[in-house]
Amino acid sequence: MPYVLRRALLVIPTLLGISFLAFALANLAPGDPAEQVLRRTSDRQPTKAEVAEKRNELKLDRPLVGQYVAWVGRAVRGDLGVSYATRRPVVTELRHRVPYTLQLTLLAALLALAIAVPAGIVCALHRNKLFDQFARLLSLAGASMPSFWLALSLIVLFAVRLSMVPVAGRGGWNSYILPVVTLAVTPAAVLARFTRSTMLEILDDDYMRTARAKGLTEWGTVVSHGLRNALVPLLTAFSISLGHLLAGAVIVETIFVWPGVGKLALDAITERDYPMIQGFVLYAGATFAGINLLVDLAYGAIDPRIKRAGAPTVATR
Amino acid sequence: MTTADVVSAEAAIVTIPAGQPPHRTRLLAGLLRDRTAIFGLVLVAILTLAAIFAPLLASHDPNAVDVARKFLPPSREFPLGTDHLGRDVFARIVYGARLSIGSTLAASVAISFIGVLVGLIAGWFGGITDTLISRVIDILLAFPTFLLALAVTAMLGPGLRNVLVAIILAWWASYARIVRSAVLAEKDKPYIEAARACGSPSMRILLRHLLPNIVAPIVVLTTLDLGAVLLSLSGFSFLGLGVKPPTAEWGSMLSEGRTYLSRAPNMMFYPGVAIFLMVLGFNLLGDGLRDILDPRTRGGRR
Repeated sequence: MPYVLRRALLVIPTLLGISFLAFALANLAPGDPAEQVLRRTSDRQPTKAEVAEKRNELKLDRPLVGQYVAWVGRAVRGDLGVSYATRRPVVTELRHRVPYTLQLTLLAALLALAIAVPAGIVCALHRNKLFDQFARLLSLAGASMPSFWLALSLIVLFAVRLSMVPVAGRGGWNSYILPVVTLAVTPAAVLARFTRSTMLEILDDDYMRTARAKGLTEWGTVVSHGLRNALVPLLTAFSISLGHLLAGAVIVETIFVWPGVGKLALDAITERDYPMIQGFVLYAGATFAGINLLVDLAYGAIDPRIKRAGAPTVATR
Repeated sequence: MTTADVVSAEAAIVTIPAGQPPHRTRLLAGLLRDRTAIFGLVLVAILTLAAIFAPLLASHDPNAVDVARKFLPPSREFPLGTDHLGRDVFARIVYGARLSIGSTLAASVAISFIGVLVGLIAGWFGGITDTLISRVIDILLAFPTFLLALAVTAMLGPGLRNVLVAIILAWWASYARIVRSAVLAEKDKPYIEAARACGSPSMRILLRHLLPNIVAPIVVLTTLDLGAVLLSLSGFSFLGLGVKPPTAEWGSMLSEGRTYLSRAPNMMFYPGVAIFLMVLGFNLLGDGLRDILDPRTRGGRR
């Protein structure tokens, strides 16, 4: 079987696992969502008949296995139920919100890459020099910083004191600056450290010496030979960073009142909006699985050995 | 390559070839030679001591409300100022350290204990046990840890105890995977065969022979993860899912401070500094431990 197909098929068990988790999370939770949603939407204690009717409407009265099969069947057809809180279809809500989260995470990922990879390479080339020491200190600080604290500090400085950008909300281009920067700091720090250590290992390799011996400049050697060999471990680190970005978006979106899925998920959790929570878990799991699939396929394209063997030989550290 | 392999590559960053663990004195000597590790150790020690001796350091009750002295700037009496209820921010930070550091340590110990236990079982017994455990690990590792913990919190409901359970549930899988592969790599080695030939029971071989040989990467991973666990725990409190005000805890203090951002930035600034310094300390210490225990980086700092 071709590598691409073989790898793509592996997504199915992962998706099944994710869907089972999403389903179990909401259905094993304590409390009766039917009673809860009635009480919340009417501000009074619902009668027994109303609760029974609601349970029937939400299909909460079926046995668990039956509920799961029916739920997966509906999910495959794009029906994830109706949000308890907004009374709108979960899929519609997700479709509205996902683009805003993607904007943030992709911009942050690009920013992190644009800073981290060159910085990491320069550090490796000038190991233990001033720039290296400074950059390492900075990346250490970046990796240790709570994003919520960084976000609030940036708001106080640039939005409250200097009035350069809006405090929160999504408006013009300048409303993107603080959320994107906040989100990019941790992945940039992690990736820079990782690029540096990967490059340090590669710089001593035989083919690098050969490339230098045949008269290539140091940068030429690094870019055409070093970077290419660093690509597989870097891609691994980057895919992990993307996962962290999806998670970080929950906090950043909450602080900046950004209309993305992260904020949606947190609201759903505080309101025990089970269909919405399930939708979010499915979305997050599927997105992460998709990222991993793309990364694995990219491995095959970068390093044909992986495609043939089908097994990873990624030495990351 | 599977999805989970990609995720485990993160763990592979600290994977260390199993070998004879360095002698305790060498470990200490190595740590003391490493300047950044010392700095980390000092940070962790200072903040931990501050938590333990909170009553000696803070002259005010962390929960004493006095609206007459609210939003005071830092002064001799209130080194970091007061909050919206007139409570001493400094006192709240040192008392809050108990909950923040304590719950981080508790969660980390539980994570590595469960991870090691499950990993040992899967790797040692193999067969259907291993298959089942590995599938569960695969599913759990299909999520970024924070999102998984968030999803579990969604099920259990908010509160510190539930958030701790959620973080432990979301985190043990990567440990179990590392331990499992370490067991697989070790279990056919001569020293295990020898122990088996001598008639040692499984339990004894696992605990006395195998465990000491795979403990180094686990210690490094646990130390490196302490910072991440603290960040997650305080993140949950910040989001209002973990520790709730008025209880003093770094994350919940930041959450309260958010409301008075422009009026009293000190309310959110200093608890954040505390989190930052503690995470920095954990990370430096973890880096130092890894450098000492990892033969590949020994000799020269990468």
